[in-house]
Amino acid sequence: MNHIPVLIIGGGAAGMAAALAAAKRLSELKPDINPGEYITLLERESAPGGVLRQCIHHGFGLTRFSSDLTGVEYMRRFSEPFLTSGIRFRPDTSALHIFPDRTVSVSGLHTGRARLAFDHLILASGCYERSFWSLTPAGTRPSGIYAAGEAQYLINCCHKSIGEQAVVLGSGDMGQILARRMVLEGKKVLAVIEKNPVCGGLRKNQQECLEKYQIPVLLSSTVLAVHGESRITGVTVQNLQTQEDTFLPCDTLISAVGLIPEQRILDRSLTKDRLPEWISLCGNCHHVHKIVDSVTLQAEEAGREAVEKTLKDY
Amino acid sequence: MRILDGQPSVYDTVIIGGGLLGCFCALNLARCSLKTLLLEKREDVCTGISKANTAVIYPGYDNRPGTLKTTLTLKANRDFEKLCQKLNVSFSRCGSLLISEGPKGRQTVEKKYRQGIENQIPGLKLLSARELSELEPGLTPKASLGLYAPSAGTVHPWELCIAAWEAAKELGAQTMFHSEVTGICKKDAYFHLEINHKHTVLSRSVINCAGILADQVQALYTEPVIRIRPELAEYMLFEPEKKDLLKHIIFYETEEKGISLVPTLNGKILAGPVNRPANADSPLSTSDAGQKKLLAESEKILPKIAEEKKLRSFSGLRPNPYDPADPQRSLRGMEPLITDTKDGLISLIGIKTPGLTCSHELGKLIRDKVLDFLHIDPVVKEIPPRPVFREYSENPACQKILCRCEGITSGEVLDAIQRGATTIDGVKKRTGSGMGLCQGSHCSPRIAEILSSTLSVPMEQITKDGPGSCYLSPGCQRNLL
Ligand SMILES: Cc1cc2nc3c(=O)[nH]c(=O)nc-3n(C[C@H](O)[C@H](O)[C@H](O)COP(=O)(O)OP(=O)(O)OC[C@H]3O[C@@H](n4cnc5c(N)ncnc54)[C@H](O)[C@@H]3O)c2cc1C
Ligand SMILES: Cc1cc2nc3c(=O)[nH]c(=O)nc-3n(C[C@H](O)[C@H](O)[C@H](O)COP(=O)(O)OP(=O)(O)OC[C@H]3O[C@@H](n4cnc5c(N)ncnc54)[C@H](O)[C@@H]3O)c2cc1C
Repeated sequence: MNHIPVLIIGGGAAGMAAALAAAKRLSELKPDINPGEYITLLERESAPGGVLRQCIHHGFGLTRFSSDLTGVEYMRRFSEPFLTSGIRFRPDTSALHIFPDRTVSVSGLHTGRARLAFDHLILASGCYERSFWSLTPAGTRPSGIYAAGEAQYLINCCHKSIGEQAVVLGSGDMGQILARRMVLEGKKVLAVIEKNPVCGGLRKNQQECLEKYQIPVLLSSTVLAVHGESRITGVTVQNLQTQEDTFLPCDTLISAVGLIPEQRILDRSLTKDRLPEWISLCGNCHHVHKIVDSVTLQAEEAGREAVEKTLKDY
Repeated sequence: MRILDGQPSVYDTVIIGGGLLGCFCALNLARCSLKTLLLEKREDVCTGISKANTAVIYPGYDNRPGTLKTTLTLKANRDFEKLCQKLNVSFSRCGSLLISEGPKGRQTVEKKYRQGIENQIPGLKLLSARELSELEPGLTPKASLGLYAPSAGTVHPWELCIAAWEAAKELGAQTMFHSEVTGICKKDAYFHLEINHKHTVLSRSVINCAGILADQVQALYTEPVIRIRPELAEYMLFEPEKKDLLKHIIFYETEEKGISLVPTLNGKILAGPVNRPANADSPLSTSDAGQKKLLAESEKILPKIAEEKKLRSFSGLRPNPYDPADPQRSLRGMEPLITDTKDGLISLIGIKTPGLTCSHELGKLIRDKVLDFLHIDPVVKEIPPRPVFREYSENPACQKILCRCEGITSGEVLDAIQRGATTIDGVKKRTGSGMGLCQGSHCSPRIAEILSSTLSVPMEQITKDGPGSCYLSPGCQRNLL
């Protein structure tokens, strides 16, 4: 079995920053070691970037680069050096399970099914979205209901139109950004529905995404039921304070009801107590970061530390 | 009735409805080399009752000895491994516990135990509260008496239904999707089946397996002696993080009929059903009250389930049969539900539980009736080994994971499409994609892309589950037309 001193899972903002910082630290401490021998990064998609690839809006890099970049621009500042760094990059490769014996099973286009052994693991697998269906809404199960990340991928990466009249559930940053995106795509957004009595997300996003485009926000409300037999035709929105129900006709529901750190590939025995010191988590798989700049910082530290720790026995 | 496209096709037997019953009838008739056609109004097999049920292979203590239901259930249960092996379908004989609370529940358990003993069910045992908690530690301590049936099991109904259909195809049975039977008449020796008010096919015999609509299909030919009153059955799925949270199927008997908890083959826990009359406008609509009840009942049986994540809720329809001459009287037993016009049309109207368990046995029974009617001496072929499409799933170049929750690869998706999936749900039913915590939000766009490129149709035409359920904007579909 090939033995990898530093294995990074996930090539988003966190994984790339960790890999680049690790390579830099390696060249400082052991310039004779080739980064490709020492550091491997697995990414399940064909290109690095993670969620940044689908973030075409501004608001990235304000602290890191003191400029207001789009997510894609921020991504390029890392993906370009990363792809030329000599770090071993395995795209189209998913980590399936991390075992307590410091091995990981993987499945990918170039590797097929394989098992890799490593010394230190940096988990940078981001988040997954809490699904609308887990709220067990009443009503039917039609098409036209998208998770926010799914909608964002379809619109920004696949250049597809997902619907004409949308309701957005959840007023956090994701919900707001998707509501604005729909309006910019020439679609109608009937309302953003929020269960809390106040609008979520950053104040800046509220102004730039909702107020600027006069998108109504229904506070203290939730989607109680879904209507439509094949495609969604509307939702019943319930005001949680008055218990009043309103029907909103729509052909699209975008659900932005929360992100959950993606740690499911860690063996349960590893997550029971404190994580062993040969695993570090960074970026959104550690906790949901509001801004990417803090992801980068945290990941760089993890990358440096991984090299320092593993070089001792190398 | 007009016959388009020149000569209509002539079949020995036409089966209406591609659910479990229709697919197993098709398989068993195709095994006798009959020219068989399956007509299904939807886009795929397994879209009706067979799609949403409790997935239990019953041990056979629920009914009186000697009845058809009991005989078929016992035989089906005994042979289930064999059937699943042939069809290359997974099956788990995990055993079941019928638990009770209160005096009425206790009576039911005792009655079923006696019935089960009479039915000679292997390994049946009454368990005390202590024995119950040893066998299933997470169970409510309130359960005072339990009936353990080691022969109960669970299967994946979609997998079973699709496997039966694939085996039927392998034996030469034909299928037409998007083909609703809209008229039936008989001229000379042939039934003329009108499809979508347009085409006609001819057949010497007809089997009506139209599920919830079986009475309406029957009415196209003769006044049905059985009518169906649809009842909604709501379910909830959990994703237990603790994989050993539930090991057995639990049936819960209290003062009223309780729910079941099933540890499914793909590691989820299925809870349900709770029932209520189906709403005529939107029969499959789940209700807020139903969901709350499911949650409460599940927690009553398995308190720790409260800590687990909910995956989704869904519903199915139960075809409750009644006698139209006496609508208050519901029909019991299986025998009366198999009706025969004596001139070649056999209907299965109102078959409920244990229709899944008995689907193969019922298919064989119907086959014998058809052979009898057609005066054919049966030469029954073996069920062929189910064709396994390993072309893609074993190719290293197809090992990219598309569904991260369930670990489904691009190769498995390509296999599913080659085996007949044309929709996102069709892929889900064949691979298990989209059934995890993110409920398809990651894999759906990717699967839609593969469907689009493999089937050479624009992604705008890819649907979730048939016409009208476009995955992308309904606006784009309008523009394409
Ligand atoms: C809609 C939206 C808007 C945002 N807006 C802003 C903003 O305006 N300003 C700002 O600063 N920040 C914003 N953020 C936050 C910021 O983009 C994220 O916090 C940051 O990009 C997260 O990076 P990450 O690397 O932790 O996760 P991700 O980008 O999710 O990367 C995880 C990577 O791991 C891969 N992966 C996961 N599991 C596996 C596995 N098992 N095997 C192999 N690979 C795997 C994934 O494919 C992915 O590439 C926004 C985020 C979103 C979603
Ligand atoms: C709530 C519930 C729970 C159950 N749980 C269990 C269990 O745990 N164990 C067990 O053994 N059994 C169980 N059963 C029974 C079992 O699920 C069914 O008996 C089995 O699925 C057989 O269904 P079917 O083939 O009759 O109907 P369906 O699967 O509904 O198939 C009928 C098909 O006919 C098609 N159709 C209708 N009209 C026409 C037409 N005019 N032209 C063409 N096609 C038409 C429909 O589209 C449909 O695909 C349960 C049933 C219900 C309702």
